[in-house]
Amino acid sequence: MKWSGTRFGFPLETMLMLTIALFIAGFLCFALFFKAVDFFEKI
Amino acid sequence: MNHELIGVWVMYALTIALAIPLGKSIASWLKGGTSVFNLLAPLENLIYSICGIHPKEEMTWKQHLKALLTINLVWFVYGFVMLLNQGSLVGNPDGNANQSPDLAFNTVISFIVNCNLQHYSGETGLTYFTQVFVVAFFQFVSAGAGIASLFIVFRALRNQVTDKLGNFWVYFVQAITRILLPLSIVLAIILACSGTPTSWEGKDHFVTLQGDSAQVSRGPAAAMIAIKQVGTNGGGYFGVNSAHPLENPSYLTNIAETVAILLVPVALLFAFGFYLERKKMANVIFAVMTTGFVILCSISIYFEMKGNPAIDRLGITQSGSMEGKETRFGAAASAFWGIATTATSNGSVNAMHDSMMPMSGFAQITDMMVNAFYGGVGVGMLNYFIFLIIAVFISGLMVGRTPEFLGRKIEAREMKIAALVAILHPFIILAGAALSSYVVVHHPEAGWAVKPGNWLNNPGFHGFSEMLYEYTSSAANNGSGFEGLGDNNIFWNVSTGFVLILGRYLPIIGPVAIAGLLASKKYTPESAGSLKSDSYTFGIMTFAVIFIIAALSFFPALALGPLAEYFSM
Repeated sequence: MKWSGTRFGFPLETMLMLTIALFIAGFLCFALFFKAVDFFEKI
Repeated sequence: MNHELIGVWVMYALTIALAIPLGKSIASWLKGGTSVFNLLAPLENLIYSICGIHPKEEMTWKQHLKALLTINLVWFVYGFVMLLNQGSLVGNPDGNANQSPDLAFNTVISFIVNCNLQHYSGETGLTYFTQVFVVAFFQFVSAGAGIASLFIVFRALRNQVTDKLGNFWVYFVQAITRILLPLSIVLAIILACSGTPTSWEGKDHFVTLQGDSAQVSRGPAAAMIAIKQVGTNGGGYFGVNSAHPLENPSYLTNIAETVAILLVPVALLFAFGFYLERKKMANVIFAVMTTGFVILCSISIYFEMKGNPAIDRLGITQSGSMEGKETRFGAAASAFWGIATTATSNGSVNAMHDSMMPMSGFAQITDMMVNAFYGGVGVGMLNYFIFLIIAVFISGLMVGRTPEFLGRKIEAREMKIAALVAILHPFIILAGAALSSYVVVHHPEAGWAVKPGNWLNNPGFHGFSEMLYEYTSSAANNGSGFEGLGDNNIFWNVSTGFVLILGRYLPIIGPVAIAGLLASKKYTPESAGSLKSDSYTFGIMTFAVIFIIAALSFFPALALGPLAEYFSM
């Protein structure tokens, strides 16, 4: 598998773990925003 | 008057001349009146029926925000998967590679939040498929989402007590079909007729006059460049953005693109006045925003036209500071673009901001720190709304009257939300700049793929400005950069990714929540005892609030970066 950027030396497992971690991080950010909507109603 | 300055005035005058009728038309259709936009109703009805949208179904402010967040989450997943696998998809005649996870994370967030911070070069970092079906798609929908959010606030501020604020999907679809799409088509035609590529073929090959073989990237560029400007997105098709001769071929296209950058944000401001039938208030807001814009423009144009003092000392004659600029645009038009693009959270560039004079860098960073002098499509007015609420509250306390805005009381809950949103912006910028500075200074040899000691092309004050600019641009969802910074690595991709996402959604959620809460409060018609929020005195007060919040939050950082660089020249 080819990857662009500057980290060509990283093994595939590292890249897959990074992908999953960033995917989860994005979801958590959106979860925070959904919570913020309810929070602002009750603040 | 200098002909370069005449060019600047022409661009600004043309913007205002087009923005007023556009704002009037937007207000007319929002009020349900007849307008030329109604011709697009059949297309919109088709979209509603395909997507299962019930246009008559009204939503509360919470339902609006949850719809906005849900569709953005879907775009995040879609974009992330596409960018990670773009090398294997169709529409890749040049054989470009997949994006790495951290770069894809940064890119997808950057485009769904209407920022378009690009840590890759357009020619090699994306394929034709992802340029069109990911990047250009997000440029339309992210701008549409911003405008739809502003329409919710418009609706909430009308003189009626209600929790029903229209339908998010209707606002969203109409923002695209009635504003973004028609304007983008006009601009794309101007660009295509001026020489910007509109092709699905791969790179072109030719032999130069001196016999070298060269390759020129092509692709469906004109269409994407149009929406990048109209939607205040800013992401370039080519790596050097609108400084590229195929992305912005002539002074004429430069005028068209500059007007396109400013047009929709200014038109939405006028639409606010026409829709609420409060033209005086819109005029006061326009005056405040224009004052800030003109001050920052004047600083940048003056220093760019004056030239570089270091070159003066060498005894070399110069017609403005031309390092990093295109001769076909000149110093004044480049400086004007620099302020227009940072004021409106657009982020496209027609000259390298890294090469501009330190005081221009100061003006550009300040523009993004304030983020409310016109601002991005929809979100600029939302940012200004936060300052407005704070100004109403402080003014009310100062004169001993109950703080009221458009007949509704501003109470503790609204102020808490406004304060949180106002504090968030400087917090994420300064925390990011502090963290990166700490890593550069204390861990320059850290064994990462790109050592922190190699991030900066410039040491000292300018290097600090590069890092400060990057986080400011991310938090303001601007997307331009001081390109001396080596930013395509895990640290910058991930850290600016988080700043981007925090800098987008909470500043939308906050103002929409405040407007929704105000709409459900008792409406009291304004009387002689009410605080006049549409007077020019109140405008000065709002400007002072903006200045004090920006000055208190950011002055120390600006003093360490562009101001220190200026005084050291």
